[in-house]
Parts: sequence; C-alpha cells; structure tokens
Amino acid sequence: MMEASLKLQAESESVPARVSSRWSLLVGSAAAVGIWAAPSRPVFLASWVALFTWACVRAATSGGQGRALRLPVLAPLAGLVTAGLAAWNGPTQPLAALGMAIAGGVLPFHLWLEELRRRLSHREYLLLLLCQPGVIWLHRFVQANPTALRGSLGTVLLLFFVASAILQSGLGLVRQDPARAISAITLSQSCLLLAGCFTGHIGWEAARALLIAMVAGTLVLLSVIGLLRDTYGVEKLAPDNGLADVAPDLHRLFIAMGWLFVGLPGGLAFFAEDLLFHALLEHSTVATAGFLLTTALNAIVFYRVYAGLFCGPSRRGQQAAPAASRSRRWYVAILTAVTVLVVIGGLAPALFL
Amino acid sequence: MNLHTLTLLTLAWTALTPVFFGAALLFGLRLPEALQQRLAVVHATGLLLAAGALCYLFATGSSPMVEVSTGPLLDTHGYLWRPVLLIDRLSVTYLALVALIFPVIVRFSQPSFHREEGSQRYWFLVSLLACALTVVSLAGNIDVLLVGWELVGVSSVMLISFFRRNPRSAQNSLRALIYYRLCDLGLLGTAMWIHHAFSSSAVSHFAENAAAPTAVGVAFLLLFGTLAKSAQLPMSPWLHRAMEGPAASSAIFYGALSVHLGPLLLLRTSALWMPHLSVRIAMVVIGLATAVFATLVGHTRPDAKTSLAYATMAQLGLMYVEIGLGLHTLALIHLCANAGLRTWQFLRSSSLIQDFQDNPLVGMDVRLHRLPGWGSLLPARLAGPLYLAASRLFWLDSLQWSFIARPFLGFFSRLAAFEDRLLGDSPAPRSHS
Repeated sequence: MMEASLKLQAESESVPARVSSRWSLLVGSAAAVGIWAAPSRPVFLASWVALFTWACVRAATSGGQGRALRLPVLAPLAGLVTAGLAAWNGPTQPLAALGMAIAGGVLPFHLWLEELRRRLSHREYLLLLLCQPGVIWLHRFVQANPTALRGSLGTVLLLFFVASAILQSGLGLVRQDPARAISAITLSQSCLLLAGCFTGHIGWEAARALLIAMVAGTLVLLSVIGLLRDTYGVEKLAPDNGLADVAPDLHRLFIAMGWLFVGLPGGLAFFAEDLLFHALLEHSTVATAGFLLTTALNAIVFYRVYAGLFCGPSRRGQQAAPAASRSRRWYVAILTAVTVLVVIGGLAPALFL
Repeated sequence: MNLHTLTLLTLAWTALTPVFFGAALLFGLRLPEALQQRLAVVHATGLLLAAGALCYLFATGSSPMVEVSTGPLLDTHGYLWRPVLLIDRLSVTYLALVALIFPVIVRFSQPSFHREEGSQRYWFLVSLLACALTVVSLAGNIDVLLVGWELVGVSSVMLISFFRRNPRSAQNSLRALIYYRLCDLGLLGTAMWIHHAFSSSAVSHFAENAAAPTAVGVAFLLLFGTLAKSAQLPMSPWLHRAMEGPAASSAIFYGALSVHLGPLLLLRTSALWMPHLSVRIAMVVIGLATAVFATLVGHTRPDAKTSLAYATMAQLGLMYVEIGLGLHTLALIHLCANAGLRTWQFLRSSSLIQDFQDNPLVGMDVRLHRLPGWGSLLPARLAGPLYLAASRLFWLDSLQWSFIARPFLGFFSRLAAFEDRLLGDSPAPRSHS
C-alpha cells in the first residue's frame, strides 16, 4: 500500500516535468527546423536566435522549480557572435574564421556546447546535436560570403577542424559517461564534415552523406544510452554492466548502428568517409592523415563504450529490470528503421548522394 | 558460364548468408537451430562448389590474370567507386583454401554450438568472415581489399568477445581492435598514397607504378598494415589474448585464414615493393625477429591454444622471411600447409588430453621429449633469465603501455580534466525525461 502511494506520488511529480520537457522539445525542434528550412536570411537569423534562446533558457532553468536561475555564459556569447556575423554583410576574414570556429565547435571554441550538455536534459542535448547548427551556419555563411574563406585561411581552418576532430576522438577515449563518449564521436565527425566543406564539390557531397549517417547514428546510439539510463540506471561505463542479456533489443541496435556509425562497410558512413577521404586528399595530405587517425580512434571509442555497457557479468539488480513496455517497443522499431535506412545507404549509396 | 559471371556469383553467394543472418539479428528474429546450421552448411557447400568451378575455369583458361569489374556503385563529381576483382594464381589458391577450410569449421562447430546461447550470432560472424575472406582473396583494387580487410577485423573482434559475460573477453577484444585499427592506418595510408600518387588503384597496375618516387613509402605503409593481422612484431601481444573466443573461431582466425592475410597481402602487392631493397630487408628482419620471439615465448605457455598461437606466429615470421627473399611460391605453399595443419591442431586442442590418453601410439616418452634440442644447449645461467623474459613476452606489453598507450591516454585525460575544471561550476545534468 505504502509502495503504491509512493509510486503515485512519484508519478504525479514527474508529470509536469515531462509535459514541460515535451513543450521544450517542441520549441527546440521548431527552431531547428527553422534554421535548416529558412527561405531567407532574416528567417534564418530569427530561427538561429530562437534556437540559442531556447537552449539558454532551458540551461538556465536546469536547477528545477524553486531554485535560483543560473544563466550560462558561453552559450549566449556564442549565439550572439555567430548571429552577428551571419547578419553582417562581408565580415573580415579573421572574424569569419572566428565565427566558423565557434559555430563548428573547433577546440577550444566548443566549450559552449559542453556547457549546454551539462545543463540540458539528455533529449534536449540530443536535439541540439542532431540539429548540427555549425553545418547549417557554415552553409549559410558561405552562400552569403562566397569569397570569405578562400585561399590559405580556408586551408588553415580545415586543418583546425581536423585537429579538433582528433582531439574530440581522443577525449572520447577517456570519458566514463557513455553519452559523453558517443557525443565525442559525433563532435569529431561533425568537425570532419565541416573540414570536408572546405574542399569543393566532392567535399560538400561527402559532408551531406556523412551528415545523414552521423545524425542517424547519433540518434540511435544516444537514444539507446538514454533508454539504458532511464530503465537500468546505467550512468558510467563499467566492466560489470553486462546489459547485453538484460536488454537484447537495445544491444542489437547499439552494436549494429555503432559499427555502421564509425564507417564499417555496409553503412552509408563508409562511402561518406571514403568520399571525404578523397576530397581531403586533393587539398592536404596532413589533413587526410589526421582524418584517418580520427576514424581509427572513433572505432576504438565506440567499441570501448559497447564493451563498457553490454559486456561483462550482469549485476543482480538489473536482472529483475522491467520487461520492454509498448512505448519502448515502438521506440526500438523506429530506431531499427533508421538503422535499416543507413544499411540501404551502404548498399546503394547513390540513393543518398 | 564464363569466369566473369562465376566470380560475381561466388561473391554474391558468400554475401547472401551473412546478410540473412544479420537481418534476422537486427530484427530480433530467433531462427531455429536446425535452420541456422542448415544455412551454414549450404553456405559452405556452395562456396566450395563455386570455388572449385572457379579454379577449374581458371586452370583451363588461357589468361594468367583476369580482371572482373562491375558498374560503379557510386559516381559523383568525378569520384568513382567501382568494385574490381582479380582472378589469378594467388587469388584462386587462397579462395580454394578458404573454401576447403570453411566447411571443416562449419562441421566442427555444429556439435559445439548445439543449444549454445548466441549460436545465431556465431553463425553470422563466421559466415561474415567467409564473405570477407572471399572479398580479400578476389580483391582487384585497394578499395575492395579494404572492404574485406575491415570486415575480417570486425568479425574477429566480435568473436573474441563471443563469451561476453566474461569481462576478460571484452578487454581482450578491445585490445585486439586497438592493434587492428592502428595497423589499418597503414593500409588506409597506403590507399591514400596510391590514390594520390599512382595512375590507378588496381592491383594489376602496381608493377607500372613501382618506379614512382613515392612507391617505397607506400611499400613501408603496406608492410606496417599487415603486421597486426599476422601478429608480427611489434604488433604481436594481442594474439594470445584472442584465444578467449570459441575454439572453432580461433582455428579459422588465428590458425588458418585470418592470420595469413598479411603474407597474402604482401604476395598480392609484391610487384610494388619487390624493387625496393630496404622494404625487403625490413620484412626479413621483422619476420626473423618474430619467429625467434614467438618460438621462445611459445615454449613458456602453459595451455594448448596459446602455444599453438605462438607456433603459428613463428611460422608466419618465416613466411615474411621467405617473401622478403623473393621465394613467393615457397611462401604460398608454406601458407597453405601451415593453415591446414593449424586448423586441425586448433580444432583438436579442446580434446588434447583425451587424444593423448586414448591414442596407443602416444606414450610417456613423447611427453618427456617435448623440450626442444636447442634448449639443452643453452648454459643454465642464460636459460633461466631467457625463460623468465620469454614468459613475460620480453616485456613487450609493458613497454608499449608505458611508452605509447599511457602517455597518449594521459594527454587526453589531462585535457578532459582541464575542460572539466574550466566548466567546473556548472550544475550536473538534469534527469532526461
């Protein structure tokens, strides 16, 4: 009886949070769609400001009801600088490069993203990662200022992006939080695809394909990690998480999408990376070598996360975890469909390019 | 049916079963055990028949080298991804080896995986390996070779961690993956250089490109790329850890087929590196050092599978020496013979004690004479320290950890800590409902 009343109380407390979270996701999604589908610069700017405002407000209220607001510092700053540069016709080259570095998350300008990661909920941060604001900002910026990043500055930025990709992958190697480690792969791939954007038509094509593969991979892997955290309370990688037997549905999704995500043949990322490899090769041998190192590290990061979540003996408490609910089955079905799409892209890449 | 069609059909056939098993696993469909085993048998038999027909057509044909290509899989902005396959003496020999050994492994695995949890996963990975090996054998350009090479690596890693409840399996598979990926950088770098500096990435054009100024760099990268798969120094310490997997998978990977991919790749690309003496010297030195290292370490191992792994490693070292000296036919014969012998030895390793007890021809004196002759020639003062060093793998593991892995990880740990300090006042992430 007491357990039931406690459960009811817990449910009634969690309802407002869930509702506000849904509204928040809706607002964030609308802003994300806005920046991607904006037909004109003013609409893009409005959506860009809306996205940052949404992220900053949600980050500021992360302490919950009845707690003091804690405004983030770096995220509003990043939003202001990038919005200002996007609105400015013909900024100077160094300023253009700065905007690119902030929007694209080149180290150490990625800290605004990390600050938001710490304050936003898992799903809100996932939305921000899937939205890839850096890519669309770069696209818009290059459209508006086609000559701003030509020449040696473009090559320097390209090298910075590749170096950031290596550093992000390396950080993924030492992260104990699975979501953080997988995010490191996403950020690293994001840097790679932004580097690809500096290398002409093939680079843009590669970036587009890699963007699709990366968004699909991030969606599946981080959703699985979120479900594992929600259902089994797994927050850290450990040799005794052993979730493969406890959550076989999530296990098969994670392992299949994980390998495809890091460029295994059979997935769209394989061709995207191959295309990117050729695009980079025409511009810089050093950048290509860095790209190869990044892809190698990403595979190791992914497998480390997989082993830390799904391998090893299962803890006794987790054996009695609740069976998959109906909503989870739907969720898994959608994620499986996304995985199948990525496989189709790997078998017939021409469909996506 | 001509050679062109048969080659494509063989490749399609080998891909069919892993695709089916993979789809079933992805959708969570549990296939009946009898169906799983029947599929594996049909797959292996089909591969055997196709390889036999391919060998026959090649042997009766007039051309020593046939290139098979299809339409491009991807054609965008001047970038073309076209699968090119090559049928020659080397590819049909290795394909025949794969086709002969694979049914043996399947037959042996049937009783081993009867009612075994995860048998579907096992059949998927083994059939994926057969497909990947077929791709590597028939690869006619560096891009196709990379596809097969990567798939071999992944299936190997997943089979090492097959018994996933054992924490050591996961650790060891991660270790194997690290070595694989490190050396794959060599192969990827080779691909990079070939695309950058050569007129074509097709293997049949390598001889024309051997005189290019960058060919020696490509050759060194290639040599590096082969080291992990064949467990040559300094990329050796993963091999004994790979014995965590099922015996049948150890046989096919580390006794027979996967581990011989290094020599196969060197033979396949010999036109490129043969003119460069420095590369051949490096190959011989690595091979000799590995042979000595593996022989010494192998004699200190207490279990059958690990001893066999080191024996294989030693033979592979000798193959590198043969290839470096230009004895390519001898190396190919050596490769086939070693693969056959090690398959048998690995498959019997689980029942070694029973074999000794039941076999009237094996008496006590066999066990008494296990020490090699040269062992007794060593002075006692040297034998002790040498044994100690060999039993500790000549501290190769510790050296690699102390001078490569720890500084590398340490740098990123410090970077991560610095990042955390910079944002240290931020609150912890909220719950994510």
